[in-house]
Amino acid sequence: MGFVNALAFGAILSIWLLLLVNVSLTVAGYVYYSKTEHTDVPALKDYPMVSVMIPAHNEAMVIVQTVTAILHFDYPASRYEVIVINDNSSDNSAELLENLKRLYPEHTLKIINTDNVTGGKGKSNALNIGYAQAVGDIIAIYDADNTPERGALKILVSELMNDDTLGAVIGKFRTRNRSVSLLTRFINIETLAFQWMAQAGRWQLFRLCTIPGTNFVIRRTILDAIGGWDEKALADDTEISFRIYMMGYKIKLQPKAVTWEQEPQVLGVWFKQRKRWVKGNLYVLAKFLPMVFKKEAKYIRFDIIYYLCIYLLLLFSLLVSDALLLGDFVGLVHSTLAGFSLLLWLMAILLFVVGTYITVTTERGELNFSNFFLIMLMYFTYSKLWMIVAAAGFIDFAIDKVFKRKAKWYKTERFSS
Amino acid sequence: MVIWLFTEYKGERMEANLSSDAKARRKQKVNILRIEQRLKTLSFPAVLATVISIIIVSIALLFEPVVGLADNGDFYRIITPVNLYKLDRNSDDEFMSYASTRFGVLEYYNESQEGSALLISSHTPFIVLARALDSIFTNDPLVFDIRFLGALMILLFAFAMYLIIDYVTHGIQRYAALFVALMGVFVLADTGYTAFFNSFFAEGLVYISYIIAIASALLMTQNRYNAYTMLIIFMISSIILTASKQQNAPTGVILGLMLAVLGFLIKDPKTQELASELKKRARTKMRAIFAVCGAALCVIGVASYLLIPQEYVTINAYHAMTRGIMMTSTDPEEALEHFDISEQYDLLNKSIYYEETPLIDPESPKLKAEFYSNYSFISICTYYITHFDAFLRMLELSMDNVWLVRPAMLGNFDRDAGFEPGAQTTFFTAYTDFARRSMPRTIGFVVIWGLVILGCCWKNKPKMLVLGAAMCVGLSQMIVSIIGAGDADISKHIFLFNVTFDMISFIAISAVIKSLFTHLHFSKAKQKRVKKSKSKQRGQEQAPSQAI
Amino acid sequence: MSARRGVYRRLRALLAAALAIIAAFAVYPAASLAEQEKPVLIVCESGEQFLLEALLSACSTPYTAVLRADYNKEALGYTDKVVTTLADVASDAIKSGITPLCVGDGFPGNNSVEFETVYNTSVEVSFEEHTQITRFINSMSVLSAYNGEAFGKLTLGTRGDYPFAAICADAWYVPWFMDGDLSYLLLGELIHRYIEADGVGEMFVLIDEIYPFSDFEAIKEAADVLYSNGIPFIARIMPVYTNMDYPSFQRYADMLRYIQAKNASIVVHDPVVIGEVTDAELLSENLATFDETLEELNIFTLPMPFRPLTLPQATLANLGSENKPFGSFAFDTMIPLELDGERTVLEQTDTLNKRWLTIGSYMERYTSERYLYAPVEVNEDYTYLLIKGEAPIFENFFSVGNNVLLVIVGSSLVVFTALFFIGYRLYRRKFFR
Repeated sequence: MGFVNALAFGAILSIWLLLLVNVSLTVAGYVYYSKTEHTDVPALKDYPMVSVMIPAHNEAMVIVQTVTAILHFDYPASRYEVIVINDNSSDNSAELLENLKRLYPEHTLKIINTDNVTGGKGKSNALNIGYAQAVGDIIAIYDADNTPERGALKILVSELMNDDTLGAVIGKFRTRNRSVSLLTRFINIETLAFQWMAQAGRWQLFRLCTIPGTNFVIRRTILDAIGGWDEKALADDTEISFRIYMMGYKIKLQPKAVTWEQEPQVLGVWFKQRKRWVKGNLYVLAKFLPMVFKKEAKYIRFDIIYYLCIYLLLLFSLLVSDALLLGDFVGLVHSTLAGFSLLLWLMAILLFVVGTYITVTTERGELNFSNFFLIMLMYFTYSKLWMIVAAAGFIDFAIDKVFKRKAKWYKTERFSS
Repeated sequence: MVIWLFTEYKGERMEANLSSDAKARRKQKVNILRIEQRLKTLSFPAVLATVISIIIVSIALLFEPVVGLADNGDFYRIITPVNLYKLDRNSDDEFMSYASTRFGVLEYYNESQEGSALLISSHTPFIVLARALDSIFTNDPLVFDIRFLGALMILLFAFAMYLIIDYVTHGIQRYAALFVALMGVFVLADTGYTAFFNSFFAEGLVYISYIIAIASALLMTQNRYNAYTMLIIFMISSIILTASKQQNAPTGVILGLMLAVLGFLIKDPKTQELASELKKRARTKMRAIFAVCGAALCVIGVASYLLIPQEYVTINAYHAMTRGIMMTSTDPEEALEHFDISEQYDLLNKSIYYEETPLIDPESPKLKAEFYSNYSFISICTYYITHFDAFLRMLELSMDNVWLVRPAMLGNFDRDAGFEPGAQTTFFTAYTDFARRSMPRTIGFVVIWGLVILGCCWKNKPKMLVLGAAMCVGLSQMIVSIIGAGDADISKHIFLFNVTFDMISFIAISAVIKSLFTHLHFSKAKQKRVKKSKSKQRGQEQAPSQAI
Repeated sequence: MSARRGVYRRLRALLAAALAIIAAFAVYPAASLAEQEKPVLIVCESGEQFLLEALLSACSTPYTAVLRADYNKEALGYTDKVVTTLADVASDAIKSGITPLCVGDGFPGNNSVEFETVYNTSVEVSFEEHTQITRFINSMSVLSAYNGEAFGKLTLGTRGDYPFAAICADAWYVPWFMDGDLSYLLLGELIHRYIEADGVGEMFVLIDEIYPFSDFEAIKEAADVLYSNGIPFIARIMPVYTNMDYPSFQRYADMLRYIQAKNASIVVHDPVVIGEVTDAELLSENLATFDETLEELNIFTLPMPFRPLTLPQATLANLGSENKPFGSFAFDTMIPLELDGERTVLEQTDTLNKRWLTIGSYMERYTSERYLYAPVEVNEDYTYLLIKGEAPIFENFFSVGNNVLLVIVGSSLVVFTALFFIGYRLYRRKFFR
């Protein structure tokens, strides 16, 4: 049937397969959502000691708001400490933090300032520095641009204490600056639909979750066992998640614990950030792929395959189908493969739009027509951009592997709000 | 003269206060200085490209074996009004086979000049001038050597080459500029194009005047030369281009509109030195002049559509329906109903006017009464607008004809040169013969090509405007041809389309080369700078860091 | 290219005729050709060529036409009959022992004949029972003296009678004739005698130049009228070479089947030829395909190796006959009906009937079969082939897959919609309390 036809056939098959997987995840996620709506968070009998860690590098723009929000948790002030790792900052973060410390004398606020000798080696390194000084039995992590809601920490800790099989509990994150630009609106919908609906679906179906890097609590015992953060990994969170599962623990999603996060407002920043995510996940994937047939990895088998599908199969399929479309348009290649009917394609697009739109009903103020049109627009723009990011990340990753280049961090740029 | 025009403006000021005597003296001195200065400011790559192309084209066109283009039957209309005739007019292989070098001059009464649809276009004065040159330099008043026309065209072509190479090589690193200039020669001085110079086809003149028009407009966007000088060049070449053929009428309109907008986007370097109030006034004046010139070009476009006699009306009308509307319709009967023509006429689908044994004589009164009378240029336009899918199919089809610059049937050599009838030259035809033919022939390719190039000059709006207008010119030829005669006439109309494609591709590629070299150059400099600063302040610079 | 085009136009008719001859040879078996005499040679100027050719064709005689410019004495070696308008050709013929038929006033007088030019005279032509109303002629050449047999009669006003033609020992002379006139028909009679043909010609009614885009209703109506008057007719149809699978061709065929059942003899018109036929083989192949296609559609075309002389109704109207029945000519004639003229077919038929013409059936020369009309449904859902296209592969898989996915996607949509409404209610309860 010819090379071109075979390619097209494979691409079409995988795209539809993944579409169906996505549909099932959305349905399952929604089931989990409505379940949690009707269940209360388990009550906390006694408050364990918690260390909240905030790594920050040149975050003067946002750090005050973040720390203030964290200091206002409804968790007893004496039962949690806040550790800000002001890592190799060249701005006035240190000064601002000192002011905060004076303002909240009743809280334990530890500020660790590092320079490029003692720190400055990335997020994992900063967390390890903070971890060395943490006293809590439970570690919570927040990014420097987060504004968690007041009850977030208590909910997460309650959930973790309630179930001994849980190694970590993660919360939900929302977009704080969603109305700033078209991009942040897209990201807002993306976080709702694909980050947390898909997470909820995976939890509902497979009891699987991945730590998103912020707004989560984890047992100190686990961190001790795995020896802290892997300073080489780009996607430290995925790595830790996998290791938690391999130790026999689970990670649970508790959507009632909410943090508001600042997302990239311009395309360039977004692109670099997402490219790093892709590369990170590919790194983890490459590391864990050989374990897919091993017994201890049985819990994460789905996740490995899921990531494999998303980053390799889907990316490959979309690239192939788009390239074929373009090639046919230009006249370079010509596939004689029969196609599906226009009706089916239209319905598939509708499915995407409706499926995504369902998820916006879960959040206040998101159920409106503009979101509906945004989702339609996303289908043709944002999704394609993701594809490009994934491709770029993949190429970067491949180059790193081939030339043994060392992974480099790119710090996400902040925007004054 | 050329030198004079193309000096970058390096203004002379402060002359106002001198006495008239001193002024005169000073002027003399300044003039001498200026000439020297101007000689120095000639662009070297452009001069090089011009000289090389003059040599190449002259070898092809002026020396044995002389390359030209055989008559396809169209010569008659253009040479009869200027009292020329073909010496081989009665031979069996009068058409297609040989490109005559010598033509006869009618000494006395020109009987054929009366009545019939003869052609007077902007091409005519050049032929008349060539005849005059011929009569000055040769002794035989009854024979016209077409090489005089060719030589005239070569001179004009040299001017065009200078302009376009001067434009593309401006600001490029020196060796890259030379490379770009040679590439320009390779693409633009291809014999596939220049063979037209030695013929009575207007395409040669169209080619030259089009390059000059676009190059002068592009030079305006660089704000290097006096805007009015460039405007005059642009206007003259555009008028020649527009008035050379009836099918170029839309070109005049497109270039006119472009010019009017361009007035708002460019700055005259001369006015930059003036005070703000004066500057503003000068700017308003310039915009007004550009707008007026643009309007004038539009008018000339419309006029040449109306005034240049149109022949072969039935041929085109026939093909517009049989090789256009019917052919691309999924239901020809329905298409015919749209024009209120009997559905039975769909049996003529895909037929051509020149068939030896047609179903019906295309000139028959029956067709004139029941077929041709039911549609016009405008109703065909309406049809294609309402049936856009058919139009796209039509475009797609016409792409099959694209990239064939050289009329495939026409011989290149003189009867006496000893070649087979219809033989074609291979001298300096590498570009049109090989490079171009390997391009994909789809409308999608052309669209993407256009969008990518326009997208690349997003930050340079005047350039985008000019290139966009040029693309419109190319496309308009195609569209006019499709509406006017289906796919039958495409091969005649693709000429400007092809020129556009080649010229813009060349400009785009040279822009890529330019940015590559600038980038390389820049990054080298940057590296040096970075090294310096690093060695100075190690300790504070390093910035690997965390993210979210 | 306009100069060329003009030449083409002139050449066109000439070549069409030449082609007819080729076709004629193709149709007639070689054996019968050998029995007949050698083809008649026509040598003349281009203006007279068609007139002479039409007459020879009407007399069912093979001929070769040569223009003055192409004339070569050797051509006389291949024939024993020469019809010419040129004096030198005539003298060449006489020298080589052929008795030429000399048409026109281009001949000098000799000891057999003498010519005279008459100006401004009325002319009445008569031959056997046929007469014609008087015409006024500005200038004509007549035989003032002849040494032979007179043929036909011209009555020139007060000048008296002259023979139309003289049959002399060395040559036959016709100093004057005029197209659209009895004199032209008379020339035909003379040629008929000259070539020593025998028999009596037939008269046919003709509907000519039926195009696939003619007015079918008008043609059918005419056929109905003729049929009800008991008049058979010849329908000359224009050949089609392409797009014969189109519905419009089916409609054309349907009309032809209809008139065929109304006693129409379907004859394929000579192909329209523009310029020259470079590939005669291809053309005859195309014509054969056309014939076959029609046959598959139950339309049976008849050959017409020799075209009868076209006798316009206007010419006929000027002719009289001494007897009540009009009588006939020595050669075949056909009277064309005018479908888009001022007079209706019914009126035209009436006129023909009043003339007591004997209308023959061309079909009967070839077959005695009669055809019935049965309408065939035209496939209006025909899919026209676009220029480009390729059959897709895996069509089955995709059509099954399409349906499966439609069900899955459709049901997911239903589930999603349900979820959406649940979510909407939840949303209302949660945020708008």
